Parts: sequence; C-alpha cells; structure tokens
Amino acid sequence: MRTVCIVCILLLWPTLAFAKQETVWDFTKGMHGQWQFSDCTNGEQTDHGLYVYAEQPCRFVRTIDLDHPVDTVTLTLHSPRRVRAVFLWHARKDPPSYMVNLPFVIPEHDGVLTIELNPSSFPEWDPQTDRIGFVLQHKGELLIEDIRLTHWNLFEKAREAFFSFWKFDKFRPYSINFLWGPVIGLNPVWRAEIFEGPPPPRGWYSGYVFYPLILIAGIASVITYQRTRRTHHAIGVFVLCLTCLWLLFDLRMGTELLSYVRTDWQQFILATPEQKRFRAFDDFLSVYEKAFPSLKDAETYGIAPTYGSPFASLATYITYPHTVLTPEAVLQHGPPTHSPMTWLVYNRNDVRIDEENHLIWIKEDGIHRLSKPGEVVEIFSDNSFLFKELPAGIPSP
Amino acid sequence: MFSPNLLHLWPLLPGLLLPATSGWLMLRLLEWRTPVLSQWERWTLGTVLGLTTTMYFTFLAHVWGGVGLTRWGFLGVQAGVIGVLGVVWWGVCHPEVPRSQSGPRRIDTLSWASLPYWIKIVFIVLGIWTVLKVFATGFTFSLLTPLYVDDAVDNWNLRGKVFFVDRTLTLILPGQEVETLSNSVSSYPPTVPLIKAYLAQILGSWDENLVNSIHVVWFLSVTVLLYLFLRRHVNWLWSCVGVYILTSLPLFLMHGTNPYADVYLSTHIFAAVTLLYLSTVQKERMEQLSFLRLAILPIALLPFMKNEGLLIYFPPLVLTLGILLCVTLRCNVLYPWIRGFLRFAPKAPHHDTQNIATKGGLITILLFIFIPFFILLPWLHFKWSHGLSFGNAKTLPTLTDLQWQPQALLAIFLNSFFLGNWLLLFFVFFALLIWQWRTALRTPLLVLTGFFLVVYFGQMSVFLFTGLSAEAVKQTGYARGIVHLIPIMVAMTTILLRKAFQDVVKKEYDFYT
Repeated sequence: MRTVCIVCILLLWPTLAFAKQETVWDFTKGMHGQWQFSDCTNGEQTDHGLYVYAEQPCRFVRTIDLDHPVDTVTLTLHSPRRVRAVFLWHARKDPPSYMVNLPFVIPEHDGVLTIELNPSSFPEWDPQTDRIGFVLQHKGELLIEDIRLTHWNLFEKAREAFFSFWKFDKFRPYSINFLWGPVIGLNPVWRAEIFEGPPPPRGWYSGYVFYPLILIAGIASVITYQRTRRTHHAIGVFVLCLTCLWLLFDLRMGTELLSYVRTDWQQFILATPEQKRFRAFDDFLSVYEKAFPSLKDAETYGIAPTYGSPFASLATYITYPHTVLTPEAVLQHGPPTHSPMTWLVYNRNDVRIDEENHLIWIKEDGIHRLSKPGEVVEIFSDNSFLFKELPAGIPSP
Repeated sequence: MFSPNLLHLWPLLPGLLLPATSGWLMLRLLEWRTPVLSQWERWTLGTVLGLTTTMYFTFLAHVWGGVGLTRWGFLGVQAGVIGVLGVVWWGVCHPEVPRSQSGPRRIDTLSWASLPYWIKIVFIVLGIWTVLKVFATGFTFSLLTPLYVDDAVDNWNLRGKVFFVDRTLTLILPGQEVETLSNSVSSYPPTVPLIKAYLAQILGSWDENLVNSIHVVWFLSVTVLLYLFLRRHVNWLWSCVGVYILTSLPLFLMHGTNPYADVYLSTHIFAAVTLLYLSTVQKERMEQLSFLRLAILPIALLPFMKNEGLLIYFPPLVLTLGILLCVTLRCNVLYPWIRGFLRFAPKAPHHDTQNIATKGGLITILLFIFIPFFILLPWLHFKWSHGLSFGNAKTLPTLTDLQWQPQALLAIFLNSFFLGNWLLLFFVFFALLIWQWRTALRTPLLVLTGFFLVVYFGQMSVFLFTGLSAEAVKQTGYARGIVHLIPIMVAMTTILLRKAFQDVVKKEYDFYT
C-alpha cells in the first residue's frame, strides 16, 4: 500500500508545476491581437481600453494561439447601457466559418464592471480554441479595459470541485418536485454560477461523483477477495464504502435542507418587518402585510403581481371570501367601471399612474385603464405601491 | 399576519384523538376475533385510517344528510362514528379477546448492551442527526413559515379554507368558472381539504400552521409504521436502519414537512401493501384472514384520497387482495394456476369447499365486496353527477394518444439516479433486487415486489408513451409517484439488505465448517 501511495504521489507531483495560468490582454497599454470588426460603428484601441460602439448588431473576433488551455474568460469593462451580448468561439473540430454562441448580458453600470464567463461548463467548449470574439446584439457601447483568459490546474480544479459539492441551492418553488443535489464545477467562476442562473444548473450532477466512487469500491472489493479469498471481507469492503458514500450524500443533502431552515430563520422568522424576505417570494409578504389594512375591508381588490408569480393566488387564498382581481381579469370582464377601488401593485413596471391619475396597464397592444382616478396611498419600492380610487365627488389632485 | 401562533396548535390533539379512536375501533372490528396488530400498530394505523374514514363519513353526511361543515357538524360525525363503532366493538369483540393473544411475535434477540461500541456510536450520531433534520425542517416549514408551494396554495389549502369559510363542499373555487369545473382541482377528492377545514373548525379560525401541521403527522406516522412493520421481521437495529433510510431521503423529507398530499397517500399505500404482505406470512388461516380484512380498509380508501389512488393504486391492490383471498381460502378454480405462480402458497386441502364456509372467510369476502364499493360508488357517483374529471393533471381521454416520448426516459433516469432526491436508494434497491431476486420473487415478499414493479413500470409507461411525459420532463410529476412508493421501497431494501447480510455471514460460516 505504501508503495502505491508513493508511486501516486510521484506521478502527480509534476502537475503541481502547472499552477493557475492566465493570459491578460490589457487594452489600456496597447492593442492585443488583430481584432476583426464587422458592422461596428466604431472599434478602436484608446488609452482607456478597447472602445466598441455599435448602432446595429456588431461582431468583433480575433485568432488566438495561447500556450495554455482556457477555462474562463473575464472582461473588465465600462458599460453605460445594458447590452445583450454573445461570446463566440471556434472549436478546432468545427468548420472554420462555424462559431459557437454563448449569450450573456452586460448590465448598465456606472463604474468598472467585471463580467466572468465560464464556457468550460458547455460540452461545445474547446479549451484550445483558435478564435474567439464577441457580438453586441443591438445598439451598444463598451470600453473594454482588459480580457483575462484563465486556466486552473488539476489541484485547483479538485479544490473547486470539493467546494462546489458543498454549495447549496435555495428553497425554490421547484424544490418540492426535485432537488438538484450537489453539482460539481471545476473553477471559481463555475462554482459561483451554480444554482444562480436559470435551471438546470450546469455542471456534473451527483451521479457523476458517486457512481465512479461505487465502481472504485467494487474494484477494491474484488482486489480484497483476490488477496484474502474471503467473500465476507470483499463484500464488507464494498458495503462499508457504499455506506460511507450514503452517509456523505445524506450529510450533503441534510445540510442543504438545514440551510433552508437557517435561511428561513435569518431572513423571515427572526427578521424585522422591514427586512423580512421569504424564499422566492422575496419581500412580497412584507409588502402585502403593510397593504393588508387597506385590503382586508375591501370586498373586491386588485393585485398586479410579478409576472409568473403565485401572488394573486396567494392573496386570493389569504383573504377569501374577498374577491381578488388581476389586471388580466379586469380587462377580460369589461370596462374599468367594474374594477376594484383598491390595487396592490408589486414589482410591475408596466402598471403605472397616468397623467389623469388612472391606474394604467401598458401592454404591447396599447395602454389600458384599470381604474378611475385615484392616488397612490403608499409606495413600497420603485415598482410596488398601493393605489386607491378616490371616492366619487372628490377631484383628483 | 404571517407570524405563527403555536398556541393555535391545540386542536391537533383532540382533532386527532377522535378519529384515532374511530380508527382503532374499526381496525379492532376488522380483526374480529383474531387480533393480529400490536397496540402501537393499531393506534398509528388507526390515526391515519380513522382520519380518512371519518372524513369520508363527513362527506357522506354532508352530501346526503345535509350536515354542514361546521364545528358541530364535524364533531357530530366524529362522535357518531365513535358511538356506533364503540357499541359494536363492546358487543362483539371486547369480552372475548384475552390481552395475551393480541399482537405480533417480536424478534428480540438483540440487546443494546451486546452491541459493539462503534455501532452504538454510529447509532447515536445518526439518531441525533435524523431527529435534528426532521425536527428542524418539520418545525420550520410546517409550523413557522407561510404557505409557499403551488399546489398547496391552489388546491389543498385553498379548498380547505373555502370549505371552512363556506361551510359547504364548494366546487367552484375563486377565480374559476363553471365551464372549467370538470378539469379543476375540485375533481380531486376533498379529503385533505376536509381535514384542514375540520381542524380549523375546532379552533374556530383558519390558522396556517395548524392546518399544515397534519402533514408532519402523516410523515411521522409512516415512519412509525415502517419501523413497526420491520420489527415483525428483523431486530430493532435493522428496523432503525430502515427508518434512517426513509428519513434520510431528501425529497421524501421535503414532502413530509411541506403541505403536499403525497406522503399522505403513500402512508395509506404502505399500510395496504404491508397488510397484504403480512397476511401471506402468517401460519394460521384466521390470522391470514384477519390481515386481509385489515387491508381492505386502506385499499378502499385510496380512491377517496387522490385521483392517482383510484387510477393507479386501487386496481392492482384490489386484484392482489382478491388473489390472496383466493389463496387463503383455497376455493377458486384458479387456485392451482395461482399456486403455480406463487411458490409460497400452501397446498390446497382436500375439502376446499368447507373452508370457504368458515365464518371468517365469509365475513372477509363480504367485507371485500362491501367496503370498497361503499366508498367507491358514492364518490364516483358524486364525480359523475358534478361532471368532475378522473385524470390527474390531465383528463383520461387525453392519455389515450400513445406516442414514444424520448425526453421522458432521460428525465426519469436523471431524477432517479443522478440528482439529490433519493440519495443512492435507486441504485441500492435495484442492485438488491437483482442480487436477492429469489427472496424478492419467490417468497411472500413477492407481494411487495410485484406491487412495486407493476406500479413503477406502469407509471413509467404512462410517462414514456402519453402526453403526461411533460410531467416527467419538467420534473413536476414523476417524483410524486415515487414518493407514493418510497416507504415500500425502503421496507424492501431493508429486508433484502438484511437477507443479503445473512447470506454472506452464512456462506462464510459454511466455508469455515
């Protein structure tokens, strides 16, 4: 056994020499590579970085020939407006004209912004890609200070795999239907984005971790049998390994469930009314609780909640037998003369007050009035407020 | 308004005690003069089955008798059921049963003191870990936080509150129209919402945490039932292994501590299947019949719990019950054929026709015919008369368009083996099923194995060939079907694991001798 360990260590020792490798293209110090700009209004190197301005969809690419593979791409840039962009790469096995697209969003930001891309979580990624580029999908403006192309070595990846194993999801609405379990990422960017983006999370699911380990346990038990010729020793080794794996998995999933519990206690049960956040509902329950005194006495009230949320159903449930209407229901049932007098608007930037103090719903097919003139009684946030119609006879302010 | 008030939980105790008493009496009457359950089994099963049965009587009293869903309406039905059952029990069963005859034979060869030190440590650590998990999640998700999951908002709790407020079995829920009634959640049996309305009526107001607390009771009940079932076959340590496996399954724990109705259904399925199984391992004919009579009740209740209960679980269980009844009474012309298939069935005696004439056999056959139809027919009549559909998630006619759904297979595979839902249970379970196939298929365990395989692959074929595949692909439906079967899987896993363990030890012993 000692010999095996020594051989393993000696074999793995050289890999330590390959520490994290990074290529930095610092555009504040000069142009890096030959960038080919297509359909861009402007694309030039300045003292502050690579400036790209586009009135229409624009693309800029360059060939690369690095002495190390690439796992992540990090952009340091200025973005005065939100831009939908695409990261492009050419996999060497693909035809020269074919490039793989990875869409991402560059948010509007006042200062310096760092965007980290992790193409290595996609099977199409070629770590030795020979051409990369970007697309701005509509009018946009960027000032790229630098681009970093990073590669992590085996030990760093193993460390990240270990930490990502212990990264937990949150208690989401889908958690009653399935739990992702551990998802393995192989670099810090990958680990950070597990469970954060839209599902499914990218990475190696638990089966990719446990079944190889079970296979190793099986091999160990066969070796044990060959050495000892005792069945119960061999099976014992296998069962012991399997039990340890089960316990490890239970520990992982159990701590995830307990992390849900901890989050509930921290963010909801023990939090002050202003700070209460409840899972994916965020602060809806706090907002609703504040608005409740105005809603509870209304036989019918309206609610314009976040799209796709269950808040209208929840409000219906909480205040039954009161009738709760949504903007869709009000428009479906006829003119706003029958609409509720009180409205709770939660996180909706398309439901606003017009100049004549009507509550309006701005849709693609036009602007629809949801109420008679009224006033905002309470503002909870930028897009959340309580609206009440004015009683008949009172002029609107 | 979202702050919990734990003092509002007091109706849980009287609210459970009444139906538990009814359930106890029902079970005791079904056992008749051959008590086969322990008091723990009778009270746990009684709580689960009594609650469902009394809600069924409440449903009948409301629909046929005009009894309102008020506090006194609910309590009146509870009192009436206890009264009738109590009188019958006192007259029929009570004087004749010596206490010593009651209950199963336990395997008690293992004492705590005889355990190796490391097993004691592991036992204590895992015990604390399990209690911590169950307590923390159950307490937080059920008793301290508001409603969160979709189906509870749109179905179980909403309907419960509507029944509570309206004091009647309202079918058209808020926001619904008459035209969409047939496919709405009102087509689901009203049992769970009725239970919530019942608890709220005792309190006098709708309390979120009170009406959600019942789900934890079902989770704990199925855990206790699993332990008690395993105790009939293995020692307490192996039984604890089974309990640990069950409570360590993350998605089952999530369902057990959140207000969904799938653990509730799984408890009844587990009760039904294990009672059928226990009938096959008894040596005495009267004990076999006693278990079969007991199994009739949870089987009969299945259609009144969830739509899946009627469509997926009721038919195979009724068929199994019929076959076992036939095997036990040895009266059917099909018996030789059945015996050829079921290796464990005893040889038929010469005077078969005399056996069916026994009082126990006749009563069992009558109950087998009467109880399921007594529950099934009124409920089906109610559904038909109100135009309610029979499907689950989709109506039955939409499921007849058969087509291979390739994405569903991958989704099912991922959900079963590769995600965090069931830890390594599927791997261990199927590995044991293959390794110990003789035990699984050629002993009475076939009752559990056969039921599991028929239902599991039946569900799989629904997902793989019908429009319900979306439920598997989006991972919204497949896992719930598994939740229904999980206690059975865990019971089988534990028994097969212990058998495998015995085999290895025995082989080793033979090797040395």
